Order: sequence, then structure tokens, then C-alpha cells
Amino acid sequence: MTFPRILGIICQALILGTLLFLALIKLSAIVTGAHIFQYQGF
Amino acid sequence: MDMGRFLTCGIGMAESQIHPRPRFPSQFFGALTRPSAAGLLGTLLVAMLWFACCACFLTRHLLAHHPQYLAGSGFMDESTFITADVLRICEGPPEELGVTIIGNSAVRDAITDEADLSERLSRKAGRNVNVHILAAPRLDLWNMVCVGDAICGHTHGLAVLQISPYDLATNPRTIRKPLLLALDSPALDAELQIHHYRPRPHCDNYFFSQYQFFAAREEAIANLWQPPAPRELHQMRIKGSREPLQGSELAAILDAQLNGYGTCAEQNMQVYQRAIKHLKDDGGIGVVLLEMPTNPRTMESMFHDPQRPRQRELYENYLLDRQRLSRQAGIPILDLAEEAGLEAGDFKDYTHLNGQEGHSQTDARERYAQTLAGHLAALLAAVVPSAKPEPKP
Repeated sequence: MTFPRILGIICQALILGTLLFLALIKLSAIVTGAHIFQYQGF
Repeated sequence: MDMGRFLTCGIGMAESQIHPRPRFPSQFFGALTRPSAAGLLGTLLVAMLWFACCACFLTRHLLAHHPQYLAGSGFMDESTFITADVLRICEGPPEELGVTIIGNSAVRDAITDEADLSERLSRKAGRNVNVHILAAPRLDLWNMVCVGDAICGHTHGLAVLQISPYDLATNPRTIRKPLLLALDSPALDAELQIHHYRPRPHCDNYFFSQYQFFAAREEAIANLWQPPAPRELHQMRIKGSREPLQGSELAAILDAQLNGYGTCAEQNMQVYQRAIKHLKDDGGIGVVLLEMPTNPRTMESMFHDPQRPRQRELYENYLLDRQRLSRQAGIPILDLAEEAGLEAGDFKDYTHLNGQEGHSQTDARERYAQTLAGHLAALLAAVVPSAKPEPKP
């Protein structure tokens, strides 16, 4: 396996891994209904 | 060189001339965009690394001392700051004398600020009294239970719990909703069990234990380069909010909030009683109920309108229930709106003091804080005998 190929796989893992982490966090927020309350001023 | 190797080398050279070896960019982008087992494994590892970092670094201590990094930059996230305040109280040594006010934004906006109230109280009590205002928008009954449970044993003096018809009308099913604050609370777990729900899953790790709180702030977790959010008071922020609702629109919203009063009030009074008992017996803290200030104009249209006999009756029932709760728990109620001379013009909307029509908002808050300080000083003297109020001239 050549160096550019290893670098490509590492970059792919970093990007997809971060997105996977964010997606899982977002999913748990949606499933549990967690949100930050924003004052609407009524 | 033997013939075999010569031929292999020759064929390889010929192939590389026909299909030249891919250069760096094509190899790199090929590996970057093509799915592979190594890429999949790496992706899972990186995601796990993120979770591990969160578990290691998003601790109680970090939230207590650097809440601004988790409070989103676009708007004020007051729950984060209130959580930090509670965690700091729990971290430090027990205070000698303090007053902790627990409620929603209406209570917070009625009081000048912690330093001012502390000064007024200390002057009246004749000794230093710390004041903590643990109040945030939509801090409901369940969050109040959590905060009361968290400060239990970490502060001595008085706990002031907000009460209103809306608090007693809280639907018990809302106990399952994610909490505003990132606090573990055995008292809330007990309430869940009393209401026939399973306790929230707990974990020794703060991040995993409070994953709902952090999940709501996923942008702040990953956005490490965003500037820290400044802490501003809620009362400063609602200045710029849209025009408050009035008339039938407001009445419809408030009526909906009070809808469950008849069926839920009794249960919620028991929740109050348990919270008060816990604070008094386990924490050695005196408890006071503080009525949420309400715009007199809203009171008139909501509860004293002859055209709305049902709401009128509801409010009369509320006053009786509140009295009963006070008697059974053996604690006083402070309803200071009239004594502090709050007028319709002092309110921004149905409950927030914010000044309108030439009235000074600071003036109204100062009057309210002064009135509150007077009552609290007298109550402190009763709870902590060494905290005697100053003699009246």
C-alpha cells in the first residue's frame, strides 16, 4: 500500500468518522427530544 | 540475471509504459472516495475516538468552570450557565449562610441580580449572605426538584422555591422529557418511580450520563474554534425579542398551560411537599415559596374576568391549594407583587419585569428585591438564629 493511498484512507476515516459521530449525537437528540430552549418572548 | 526474471522485468516495464502508474493525486483521491475495509474500520475508530474524547474531557469540572464553551454562540443558552452554577455550589465547601432562589425567568427578571440582593440581605441580616439565583426560562417543577436535590447539603440558610398556578398544572408526563439542566438527581429518579416510570439510565461518566444535554449541543461539541459565548442576563436579551402576545392569543396559551390544573394539582403539590421535606430534613435548609410575579393586567383578564368563571374558580382553588401546601409543609409563602408596588407598566409581558411606558425597569426590580430582602432576612433569622436582622431605627 502506497503512502498516498494510506493518506487517502486516513482522510476518509477522519471525515466520515466525525460525520458519524455527529450523526449519532444528532440522532440521539432527535430520538429523545433534547433541544436547547430558546425564549420566544410571548 | 536468469531468463525468468529478465522476462518478468521486461513485461513489467512494458505494462507500465502501456498503463502508467497512478500519480499521487489520483491515488490519494481514489483511496479517499472509494469504500474500503480499511476506510470503514478507520471511520469507526475515529467516531469512537470522538466519543472517548467527550467522555474524558466533557466533565462536571469543565462545565462548572467553562460553561461558555458549551453555550451556543448564536443565542443565550442559559441552561448551561445555571448547570454550571449548581455544579460550582456542589463542588465547593458547604456555605455558612446562603439564599438559593429556584425558579423560572419570571422570578429572575423580577430581581436585580445576585450581588445586589446579597448586599441588601447582608445589610439586613448583619452578616454576609450569599445569594444564588438558579433560574432560567422554562425551568419547570422537575428541574426545580433536580436543583433542590443538587444543592441539598451544600448550602445552608434558605431555599426559595417558585410557585404559580402553571407549576401546579404541570402535566406529570413531562417528567420524562429531557431536563433543561445536566444534573443527576436521585430525587427525580424517585419521582419517576412514584409516577410509574423507569428511572433515567445513569452512568459514572458525566458525558454518557447526561448525553441528552450534550446531544442538544452537538454543534458546540464539535465546533472547537467558535468563540466562547458571553454570559448575559435573560432580562437583557428579551429587550430585543418580538412584541409580547396580548389579549385572546395570550389567554389561549395560558389557558392551555392551565388545562391540567384540576387533574394534576394534587399530584404536583405532593411533589412540592417531597422536595420541601428533602431540603428541610436532609439538607437542613429552610424553605420558602415565592409566588411568580404576574402582570396585574393579565391577572385581571385571566382570573378576575366575570366572563371567565372557570378560570376565576381555578384561581380561587389555586389560592386554597397554595395555602394548604404552606400549612402542611410548615413554610411561609411570599406573594410580593402588591407589596413591591408592581404595576402593569413595569412588565414587558404577562410575567417578565422589563419596563414599559416610561416606567423604570430597574426601579421595579429594586423595589421587588428590597421587599424580598426584607422578608428573607426575617426568615433567615428564624432559620439560622445567629442571622439576626438589623434593628429598625
